[in-house]
Amino acid sequence: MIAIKRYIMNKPSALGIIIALITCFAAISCTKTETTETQHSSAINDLSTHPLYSTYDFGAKDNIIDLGSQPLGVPIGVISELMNRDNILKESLSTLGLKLRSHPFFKGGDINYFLKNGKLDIALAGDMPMIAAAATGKVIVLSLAKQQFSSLIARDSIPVNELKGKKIGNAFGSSAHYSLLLALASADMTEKDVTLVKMKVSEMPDALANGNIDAFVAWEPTPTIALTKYKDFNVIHRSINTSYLYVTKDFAERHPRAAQLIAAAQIRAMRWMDESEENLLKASELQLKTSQKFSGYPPVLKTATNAALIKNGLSAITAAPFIPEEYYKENGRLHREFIFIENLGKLPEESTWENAHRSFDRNILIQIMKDPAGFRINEYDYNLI
Amino acid sequence: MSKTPASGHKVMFTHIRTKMLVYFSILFISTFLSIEIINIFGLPFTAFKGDYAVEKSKSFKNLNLIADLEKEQILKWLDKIKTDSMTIAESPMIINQIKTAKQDIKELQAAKPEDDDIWNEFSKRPSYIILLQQLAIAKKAYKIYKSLQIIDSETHQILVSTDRNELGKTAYNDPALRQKMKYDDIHITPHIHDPGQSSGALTLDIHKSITDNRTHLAYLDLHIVSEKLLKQILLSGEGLGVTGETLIVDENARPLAPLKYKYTENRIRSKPALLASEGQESFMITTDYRGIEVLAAYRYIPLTSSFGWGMVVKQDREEIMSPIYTKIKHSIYLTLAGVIALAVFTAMIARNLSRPIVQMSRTARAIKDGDLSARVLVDTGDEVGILAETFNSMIQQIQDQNADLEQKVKDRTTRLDLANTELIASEERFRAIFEQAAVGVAQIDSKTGTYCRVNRKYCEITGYSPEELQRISLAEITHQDNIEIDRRQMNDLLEGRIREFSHEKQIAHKNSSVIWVNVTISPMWKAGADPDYHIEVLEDITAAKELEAQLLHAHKMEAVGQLAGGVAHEFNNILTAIINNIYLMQKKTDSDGPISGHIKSVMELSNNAARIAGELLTFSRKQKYAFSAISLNEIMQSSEKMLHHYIGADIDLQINFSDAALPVIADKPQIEQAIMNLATNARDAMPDGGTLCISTAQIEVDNAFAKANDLEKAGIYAVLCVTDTGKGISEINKKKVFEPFYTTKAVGEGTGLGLPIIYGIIKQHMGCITLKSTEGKGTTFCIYLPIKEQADKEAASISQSAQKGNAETILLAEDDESVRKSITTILESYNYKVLAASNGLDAIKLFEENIEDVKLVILDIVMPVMKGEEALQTIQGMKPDIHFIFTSGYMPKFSDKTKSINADIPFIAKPIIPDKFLMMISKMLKKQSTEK
Ligand SMILES: Nc1ncnc2c1ncn2[C@@H]1O[C@H](COP(=O)(O)OP(=O)(O)OP(=O)(O)O)[C@@H](O)[C@H]1O
Ligand SMILES: [Mg+2]
Repeated sequence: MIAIKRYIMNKPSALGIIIALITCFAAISCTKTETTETQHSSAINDLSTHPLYSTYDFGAKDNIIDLGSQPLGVPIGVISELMNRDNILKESLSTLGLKLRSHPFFKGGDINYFLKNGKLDIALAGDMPMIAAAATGKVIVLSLAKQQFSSLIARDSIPVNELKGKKIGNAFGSSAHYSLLLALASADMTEKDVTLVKMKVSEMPDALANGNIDAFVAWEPTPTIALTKYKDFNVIHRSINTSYLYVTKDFAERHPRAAQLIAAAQIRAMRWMDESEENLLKASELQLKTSQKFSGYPPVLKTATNAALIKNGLSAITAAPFIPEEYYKENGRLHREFIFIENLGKLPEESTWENAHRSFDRNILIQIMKDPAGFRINEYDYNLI
Repeated sequence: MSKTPASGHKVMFTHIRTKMLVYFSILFISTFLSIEIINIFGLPFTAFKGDYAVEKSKSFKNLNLIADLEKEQILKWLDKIKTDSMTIAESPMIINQIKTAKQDIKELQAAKPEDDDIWNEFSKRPSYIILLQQLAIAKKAYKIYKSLQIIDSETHQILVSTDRNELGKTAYNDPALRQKMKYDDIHITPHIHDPGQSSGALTLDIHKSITDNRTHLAYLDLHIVSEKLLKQILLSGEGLGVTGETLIVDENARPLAPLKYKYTENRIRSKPALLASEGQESFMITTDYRGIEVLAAYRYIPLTSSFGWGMVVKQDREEIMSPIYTKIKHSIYLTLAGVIALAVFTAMIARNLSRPIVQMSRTARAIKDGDLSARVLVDTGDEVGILAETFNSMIQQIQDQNADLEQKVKDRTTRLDLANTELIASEERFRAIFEQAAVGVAQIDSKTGTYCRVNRKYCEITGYSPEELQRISLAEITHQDNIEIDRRQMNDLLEGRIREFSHEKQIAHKNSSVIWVNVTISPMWKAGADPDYHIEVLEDITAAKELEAQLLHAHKMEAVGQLAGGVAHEFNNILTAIINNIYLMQKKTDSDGPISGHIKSVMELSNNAARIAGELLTFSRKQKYAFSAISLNEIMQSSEKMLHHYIGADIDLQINFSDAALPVIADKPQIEQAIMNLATNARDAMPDGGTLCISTAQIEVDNAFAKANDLEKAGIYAVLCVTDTGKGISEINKKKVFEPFYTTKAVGEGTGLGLPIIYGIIKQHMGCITLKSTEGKGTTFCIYLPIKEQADKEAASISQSAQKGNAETILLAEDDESVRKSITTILESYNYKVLAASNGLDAIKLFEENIEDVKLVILDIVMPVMKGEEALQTIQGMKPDIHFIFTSGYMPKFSDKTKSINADIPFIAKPIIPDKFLMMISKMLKKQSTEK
């Protein structure tokens, strides 16, 4: 009896095959449509011909600061949203003769691409793209902009190991991609054990619902959207994701004050949302609108739900969005992530941890915190129309 | 039980019943099992999950739910603490009192800079008392705080504490904390005082900034004994069964609350704990810190941006799955029971269904084993019944047909056997005819002339084995002289001019002797085509040929003999008269007288003439012989001297005598002459010298030899052989050497009478002569003489001297007057009374007249009017006891018919030697008188 128990416990899938043989049931037609696109390489795709991105005006004027934002992510989507509407920022930048221009992207990896080729100066992106950029030594990471879970969602409540051989929707090079890798590692698997399907986070819930994929991994608000829209979906794995505000070294050197003003704008936005429930809801509403415009999907989440997500994403970040030193110390969260993705060969050749480590600059934030008045972090003037 | 089908391929025999049982059992078991297994594990490729998956999923959902609930509880609790801290920290009254308190301390310090006791002073100040009161209220209200403190944000000195001892001490010794608190509003620090001990060791410090108009005044520290609280939360969780447990670990996976099970290490090394503390949330089947399989859900509880706790909600897999196992167990029992029941049913059904089939198979086997009368006794009223019925009628038909067929086969077999027997007999007969034929029969390939088949006799005649004959052709063994005629005949035969041919020819025997054969060759005809084979019939006629040659020779000799004999006989008669007259003349004249010398000389000449005539007679065997019993060795001994003289010094003479006496009846001088002639010939054959060997021996002659050499009978013979080492005689000449006047010698050297004379002498002695010769090597002549036992007596009687008679009357019948007169004269001179007759008839007349007086009758065998023998018969008829003597110029042939009649009659040859004759007469008369 014990033996049978063990056998059943350890080899349910093998037994399944045996049963299939014994019963001689004709295999029910379940022909897989091999339309999946897999991408295992770390190489960033050529996005210069991207249908949307190629329409962007990155105009190489020196007085324009180009920000790569992600309207489909909370809370960073809302931070960029508020930055765009921040009259104080606008005003202080203009005194430097500068102007902020924001470009929406689907994921951090894409932002990195344009950051690398000099089209963008500032990025708001997740940990994985941030590390990929920082490891090359070409950026300076200013602040923490989010600490929240990315989720792996499947239709059924199955352990991760049962995803073996399944199709998983993924945004390549995103922080959720890293979450997926962690999830697979927790079940002793790698990307090779599953089939990754490249897709935008906004497409994922429906793809899972209609069976094109067996699971997907995404950052907020997509998981919440999916769970709201499809009640039977299940989160089968979650892992902490963080997002950062980082600028190119080039930009920081050319416009150190502007970089500080941008960071101060983030702190201002966070404090404004923290100020009142009303502010938060307003920000949420504005972000949802932009998100809808960008993705083409009508909003699934209610403003309040989205607001809760925003609050959650920022909850661990206290008054000052310092990147905790524990993150990038030896064996800290970011160091572990670097090693992990480096081992998977997902980093550019020239990447080193030393580069990444050097990229974390606390001074900018310290200076802002020392001079709250000068950076007007406790004043608010947003264009909320 | 196994069966061997006709094919020879071995197949395990299994009863149909067993098969049905096995098949159905397999079917049932597999079906039951399949259903059960599908029920438990689901159907692959379908949405049907099965109990196992469902149960597992349910369990995971449950665990996740509990985990989420507990996480929420903890977060709520933390929130509450935060709220507490905010409530205190943001209270304007407290802010004001802190301001006052800080002012008070500054004042006290300014007054007594070196005094520690300022804190004593300070504790009496109203600001302190109010603040302490506030903190004490909070502590009392929430019951989870160990202590509450307010710390000066500038000096980091503890301004107020519910723990009186802490007052005035410096807090925030950790610079990192100080740094953090510069910018952070609230901060949480956990403390594990004694990691080894899992109970009551955990405290949590909440640091809250107290600001006045965004300026740091102080920090509020809340020291919480979290263990108590966590324990409460963790153990309150329901729905985790008996083995369920929730554990909380810090970022280093150290347990923050006591564990349910004993564990001695600082860190929890189970996977979910580690993952959770790193910020992951999920669920899995894994092994927990005890190493036992569990279903676990794990959660991350963020406390600050830089750290959080891990939480694991787990339950032993065994407990979770026990309903499934129970179900499986029950299913297996049920399946087993079902299978057993079904097996029993199947067995019954199989038995029922297979009974008629088994019966049919039994019947079929019986039929196969030969019992055609076997029938299936099945009446099931279904298809099997119809099958049985059909089967039965089929067998009936087969049985009928079989009987019919058997009879036919029997008849045919009998006929066939008969024909076969006849055929075999016929074959045997013909084979026997072929094989046992007294003539050689051969089947010859017409085209090649080679032998295809020969019979025994053929091999016997040719000396070759059948195998050897197959390698040679008829032409190869045909004598040179016959090949041409053979070829011609064969051509004629093949071209159809003749239908067969037969001739005598010589062929070479395997032993290279030449044999005579009669060959008959005829084709083996076949319809409408040239024959492929010829039949050769071969008869050995060598013996006949030899006989023929001998006969021819004999006739020749006979003719020559007749001639010579006739002449000699006439001379002899004349000489008998002459000699008789001279004899009388000698008796009547004085031996010393003047003419006695002449008479004596005439007598000698007459004797010489008589000798020559005798020689001729010897050859013609008309010579009168003087036989006597004598040893052959003796004859040889007496000749030895003469031999030496004859052969000369060049030739080495060797004489070997037989130990046996070799008594023979022989005419000594004749034999001597024969030996001399042979020796002379041998000498002549060795002109350059050599060895001459003469030997005697006693040899027993068999019938074959006797017949071949015209001997009277087989038996013991005295043999004398003369062997030389001379030039030898060729094969062809061997036949000729015995012919008179055949010689190879020059004129005057040889007359060619030597060997003929020997031949005559030996024939006269009832013997034979043989010749063996190899050209260039030498020649051996052997003479064979019959050994006679009673020879002694006769020889003895001959040696007696003649005696005068007592005037006995003797009847003499002699046709030759001169002979008659001379004999009469001699007899009368010896005191006998002679009655002379000129022929047989006269003799009978005379005997009749003087039947009482005549004491002896002397009859010439050859006489005109009536021959001596006829006369003898008549006289014997008149007086049976009368004695006779035959005379004749011819030597009587013992083989003649007359011999048997007159075997006992003494005989005396002409010319009659008076002494011998007289002696015989007196002996006869004496014999007659003694008989009376
Ligand atoms: N021993 C022998 N060896 C060889 N040839 C022999 C011998 N004996 C006889 N012949 C042959 O046989 C022949 C006949 O012999 P045969 O004695 O009859 O006559 P012959 O010797 O010729 O004359 P003759 O009358 O003087 O004997 C001889 O001439 C001789 O050729
Ligand atoms: Mg001679």
